[in-house]
Amino acid sequence: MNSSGEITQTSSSASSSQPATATEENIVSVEERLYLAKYKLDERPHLAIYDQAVCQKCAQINGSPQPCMRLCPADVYKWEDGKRNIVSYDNCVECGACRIICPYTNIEWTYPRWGRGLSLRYG
Amino acid sequence: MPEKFDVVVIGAGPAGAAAAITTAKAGMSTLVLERGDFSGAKNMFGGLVFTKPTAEIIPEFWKTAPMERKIIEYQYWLLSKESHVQVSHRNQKFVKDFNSFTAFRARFDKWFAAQAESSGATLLTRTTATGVLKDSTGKVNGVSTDRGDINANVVITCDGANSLIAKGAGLHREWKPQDMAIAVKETYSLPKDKIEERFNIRGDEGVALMIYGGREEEYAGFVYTNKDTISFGLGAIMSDLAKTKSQNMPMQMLEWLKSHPSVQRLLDGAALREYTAHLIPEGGYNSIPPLYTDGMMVCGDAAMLVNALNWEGTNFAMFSGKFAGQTAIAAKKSGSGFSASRLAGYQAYLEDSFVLKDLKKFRDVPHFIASHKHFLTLYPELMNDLLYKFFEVDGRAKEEHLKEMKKELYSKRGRLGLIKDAIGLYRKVLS
Repeated sequence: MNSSGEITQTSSSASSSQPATATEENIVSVEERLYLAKYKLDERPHLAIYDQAVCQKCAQINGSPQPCMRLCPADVYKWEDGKRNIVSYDNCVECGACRIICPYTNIEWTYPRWGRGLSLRYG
Repeated sequence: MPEKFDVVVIGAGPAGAAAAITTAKAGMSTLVLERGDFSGAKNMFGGLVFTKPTAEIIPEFWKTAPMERKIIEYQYWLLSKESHVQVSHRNQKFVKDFNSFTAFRARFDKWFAAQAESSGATLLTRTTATGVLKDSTGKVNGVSTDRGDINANVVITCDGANSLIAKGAGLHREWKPQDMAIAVKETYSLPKDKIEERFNIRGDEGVALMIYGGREEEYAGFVYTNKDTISFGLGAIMSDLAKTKSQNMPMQMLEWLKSHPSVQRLLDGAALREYTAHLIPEGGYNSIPPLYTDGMMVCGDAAMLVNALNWEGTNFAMFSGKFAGQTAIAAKKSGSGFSASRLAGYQAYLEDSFVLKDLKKFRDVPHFIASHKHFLTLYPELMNDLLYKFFEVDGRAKEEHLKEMKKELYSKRGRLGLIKDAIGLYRKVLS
């Protein structure tokens, strides 16, 4: 067993600025929400699109946003220039919805390594 | 670390910790693998744990377990656009003898896994299991991880809702979107006295609130009181949500629910502390995968052991973990290995308990709800309309109101539909 997981890198640390309050006028963006969480980046992406051509086909058949984008609660997937599914894996909350909803099993989905990724305070 | 363990448990959530406590206490060498920074770091749930089943796993757990509030009142809200109908039950019996309590996974699971360690199990965190190892006969005899391979006589996989290990081992295929709910949850901080005032509670008393209706998409919402925070969220069946062609439906629905005038008051002025999401396996009995194979058992969410009807998952996880542990102990005692036939006792344990009895009893409910969408959409709206008309005083005779109410009921669902629904509900849920 190796212990290379001990090296940690903080990508987005907890924000200590004023927390957002729950009011009608104040809708908090996904990014702001995710800044609240403790997160250690695994520099090897734990998510990937197998074949962009399949995402293009999906956009034609199912329309865009595609099912992965409709269900992802953390806006990991963005359809860029009508031809590329851009994967922001560092937004991922590791739920797995995208993998299950993808009609073409076109998402390579693994967990981050060595305890990296999301770390919840409450859960 | 030894070359080989009697038992390797994958995942230190409620199922995994219960399994490890059981086998470690019986003297089996037990290793628990946890992919998070600590046990619970990756786990999320709505917020309720039931007392009695938990006490069967850990007697007098309340002396040390990190609990938030003891629930003395259960509420159901049925929403319409700007109103709600509430059914609630508060009872002094719950004050004297608490039936359930709120908790946070990141704290409770950490504590629970520590119980496994003090029972003699070894906990290895920050280690992700990537698959199982098999011998030449196909029997599972170890686990591959991101830190190397580990050998085991028997593997108990409690790797959660995604169930990647059982899938990788060939026990089942990918879950179906209609069997899975996606849940999003926010944790808000609010001063203790405000929470107590808002929910009419004191000391360590708490309220659990379930919310349905008010929009076209089916969902189930929740508000749970904690010490100085409020858990707020909702879950919806994935295949339903995917029909709406817009970005990030779970968060959009959460925002909508939060802006509902009745709900908004509960969270007013509270500060957002955490946002996250998790899957809930809600397929019920008919979608439970094979629970064991040569050298391996599957527990908790990974085996779809969730009763969505009663919001029960944690207890099912704990009990399935305990049963898997007991099965491993019996197999070791028999001295004839951990083949599938030696692990069949695991399923028997589950069938004899409330876990599979409850799931079997309500086996048709997920399908029934799926084919009766109006239960969670039309009926809440109807009830709100009817009660509004019932309470409204506008100078007309009450008889006219009653006529209108009847007319609305029959026009929106029809007499036959109403009767069919009543019979269906009785047959599937109550009989």
